[in-house]
Amino acid sequence: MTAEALLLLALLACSLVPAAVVAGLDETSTARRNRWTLGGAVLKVLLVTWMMLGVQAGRFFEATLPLTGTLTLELRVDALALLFVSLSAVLWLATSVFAIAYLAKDPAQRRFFTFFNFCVTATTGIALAGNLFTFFVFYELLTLATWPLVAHRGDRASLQAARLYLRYTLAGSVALLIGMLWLQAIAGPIAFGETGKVARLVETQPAAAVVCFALMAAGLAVKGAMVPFHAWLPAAMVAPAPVSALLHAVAVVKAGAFGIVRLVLDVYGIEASRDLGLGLPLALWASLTIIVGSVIALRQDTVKKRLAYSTVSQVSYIMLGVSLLGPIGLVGGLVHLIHQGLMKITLFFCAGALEKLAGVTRIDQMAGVGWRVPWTMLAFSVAAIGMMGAPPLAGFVSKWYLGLGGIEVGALWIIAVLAGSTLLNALYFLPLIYAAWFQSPPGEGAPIDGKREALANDLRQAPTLVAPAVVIATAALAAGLFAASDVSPLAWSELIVDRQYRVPWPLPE
Amino acid sequence: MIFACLIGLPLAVAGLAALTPLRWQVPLAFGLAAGVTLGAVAGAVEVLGAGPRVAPMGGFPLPLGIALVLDGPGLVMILMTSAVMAATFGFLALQPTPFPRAGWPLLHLVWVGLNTLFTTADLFNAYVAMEVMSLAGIALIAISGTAKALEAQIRYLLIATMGALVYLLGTALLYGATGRLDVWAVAQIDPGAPALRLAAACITLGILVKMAAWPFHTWLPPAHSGAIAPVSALLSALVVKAPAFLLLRFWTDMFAPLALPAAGTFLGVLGTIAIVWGSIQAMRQDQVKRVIAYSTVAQLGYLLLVIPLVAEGGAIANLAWQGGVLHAITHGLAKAGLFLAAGSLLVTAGGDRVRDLIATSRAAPLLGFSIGLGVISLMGLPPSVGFVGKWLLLRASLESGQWWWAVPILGGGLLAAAYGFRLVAVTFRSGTARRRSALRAANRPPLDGLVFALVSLPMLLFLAAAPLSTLIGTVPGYGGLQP
Repeated sequence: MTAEALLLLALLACSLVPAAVVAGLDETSTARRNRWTLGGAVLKVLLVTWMMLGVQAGRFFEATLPLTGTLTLELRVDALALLFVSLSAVLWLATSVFAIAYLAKDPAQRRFFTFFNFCVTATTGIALAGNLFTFFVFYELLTLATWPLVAHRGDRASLQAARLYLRYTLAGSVALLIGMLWLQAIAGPIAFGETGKVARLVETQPAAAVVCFALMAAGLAVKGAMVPFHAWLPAAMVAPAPVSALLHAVAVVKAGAFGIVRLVLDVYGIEASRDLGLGLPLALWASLTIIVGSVIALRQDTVKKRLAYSTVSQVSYIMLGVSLLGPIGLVGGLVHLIHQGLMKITLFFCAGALEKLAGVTRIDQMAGVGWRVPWTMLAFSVAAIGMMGAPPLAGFVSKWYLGLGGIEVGALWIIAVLAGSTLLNALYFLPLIYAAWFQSPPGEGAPIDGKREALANDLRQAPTLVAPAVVIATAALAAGLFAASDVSPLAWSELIVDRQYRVPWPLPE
Repeated sequence: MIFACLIGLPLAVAGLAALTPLRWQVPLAFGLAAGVTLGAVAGAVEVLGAGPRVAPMGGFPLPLGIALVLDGPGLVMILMTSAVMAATFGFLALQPTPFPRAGWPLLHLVWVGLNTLFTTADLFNAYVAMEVMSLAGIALIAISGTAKALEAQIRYLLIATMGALVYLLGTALLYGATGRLDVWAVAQIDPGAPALRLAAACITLGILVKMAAWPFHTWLPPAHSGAIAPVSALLSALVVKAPAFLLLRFWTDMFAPLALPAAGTFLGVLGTIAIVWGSIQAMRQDQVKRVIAYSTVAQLGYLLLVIPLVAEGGAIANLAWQGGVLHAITHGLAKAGLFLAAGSLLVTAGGDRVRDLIATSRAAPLLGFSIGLGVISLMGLPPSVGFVGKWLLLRASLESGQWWWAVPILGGGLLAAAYGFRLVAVTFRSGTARRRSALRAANRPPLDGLVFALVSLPMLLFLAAAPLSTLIGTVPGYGGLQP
């Protein structure tokens, strides 16, 4: 076994070992449990950083385990895998800090952190998967690892949400599995990047290739929460806030979006996707999800539900970027994978902190809350305004590239979708921000009076609960401000497109 | 020497166990488990190195002697059996209620029958082995001592005997036509001969009864849920599995030249009905053991689905064969684990209703987790080796053009999720456990660790799928050996 393969396995072990250790610890040994969880998360960030330097220097990371016949478990690192794995590693560390603070007094923490760590193992596996089979294995592991987190509270609502989650995801898995097997039956086993195999089908069996794509895309869209397969996501809001953060920003929804990216870029390939005419239907589907998700979000009256529908809408930006099948749109989609993760996880951290520190769960309770938990609401505001796409925040960069990408392929209607979505985002986020900062809490006079004494208190009062949101919000701010620098998510997305998916451009007519 | 370990040793230990006092039984049983496992490992090393071989029992050449076969698929089944047996022995040694002395020799006799069935290439020998196994297994049901169990036991006995008689009739027909009893005798007759077809029908029907295929399954749920948990584990994981394995071997080997697509389709349809019917019944049960017992009816249905797929021949038959055997061992390990989990639940919570599982969330988290792992294997999801089996079966189905078998294969997984996650969900339910269970939880034997070890095996085997499938090899079921 090579050093590169060992490094890949170590990346999985960073969270798998803590999961096993935590499972074996007593419920009461909180300190050790936290040490293992955080230690694994920190180690993982370090390993990913090291790996990034390695990839830049031209090293190739791969580990394979043949199972039977042509069936192989394959892990490897390319620039796209690193994009996802670095996102999950960084956000995981933040979520771990937050979850430890959030759940400090909850029962059954041992079980929670066991599956929490399993969950990141599965996500890492999804990022590193080198073929569809390996992807599917970890994709299912993710379902299994997340189910206990959704069911964690054990009350009727949680178990119902867990049941709904399982129904949706397993149905999606069946569709994905049929599509994979069918494609393999007509094209042979496909490792990611071997797009030539499907390209040959364009001539011979285009209809079957399209149906396989539809099956796999539908299966992935369930986790990606595309309309009408999204109902499980808002229902899963009954789970504790750290679970929401990971469902929405790091693991599950992202796994679906990442799967669609892999499917289009590395299984079908941009040219075959274009030849088969897959781009437009996917773009329309993503646009529909973007608009419908936002419209439903408007009508929610709890903070978490509104954020949930906002996710439905925002994640489809990634699909939209990929579906344009042009280089600029692709950059926009990929960079949004990171940007949406940074902003949405901030919002959920804030929602959790609002609930714990200020007792706020409904939107009509938010009046004046900004002065009670200023750091939390500051982070919330930055992330929400970023989500709306206001320059110079991260969301603006995504939308800018998506819009340019639309223009470049001649799909001007994309601009209308983006504009409509931005308007809707503003409509459902701005009232929250306005209420938090500019309205008086019910029963009090001027909000200004209490502001000085309360300011800066929440960060000191509950540092581990609030700091993750502040730190990640700062990162989201930086990702937008310094988008032009060499180390921004945008630069990495451009590198991915430049290195791996050189699209022949302009379009051959 | 290897056969002495695999078949002679359990037989000898069965005799010895009948003569020795209770306190010797546990060491004897573990000695036996170690011996058989060593023999099977030595056999696997030999098969991987020198290939499979036919070994006439006692050295008498065929057709006089009884043909035993040392080959990969049989050894894989025997190794799975050893794991289940060892866990069962461990459970019996640790459980608070003592296991009667008379039970131990019966356990060993079941093992004699199992290992013979996994290695025999002789139809009459298989009949004897099936009877030894069934009768010893049926006798073990009585240990639970309830009236319900006794009734189930009698029913099982009657139906199993009828199945055995039909099987024997088929064997007699073949003997009449060829004068031989080994599986290679069939090659002497014209595949179109009516006697051969009738014999195949009788043998198949007899085995269908023994393996509780739908519609001959009615005896199974009361019998498997009525016995004490460790006995249920053996009955459900192994005693119905061995005849099913034999059926697969026959249809991939001696009956393959019959080329009866209608027969394959018929068996496939029976399997499909079993999957649907067994799963739906499993969802409706409120005793944990009955859920698991009905699940066995469903899971055995998959093995019948293999038969129309192996009829395709060539690479597709190999996929289906490997998928079928992988499914058989996954189900064996998971099912035994789940029954032992039900037994542990009874010890912990003082009951084995589904709602008693609420008690486990606090008192025995490992038990809930183990049930979850068992359910994952039944569903055929990664990271269980059952997923590899399912993947191969699905590939065989889609690549052969018989895509319709993919529907029960995938649908069965969803149905397994429905009845399985019903159990898992209860372990997550918050609520106060009954006081009695909290008391019992204080000083419990480490049964859950045992259950966990057993249900984790399919997860470990997932990573060892490559050597495992090398060992299982390809069709025909007897590896193309000649006496």
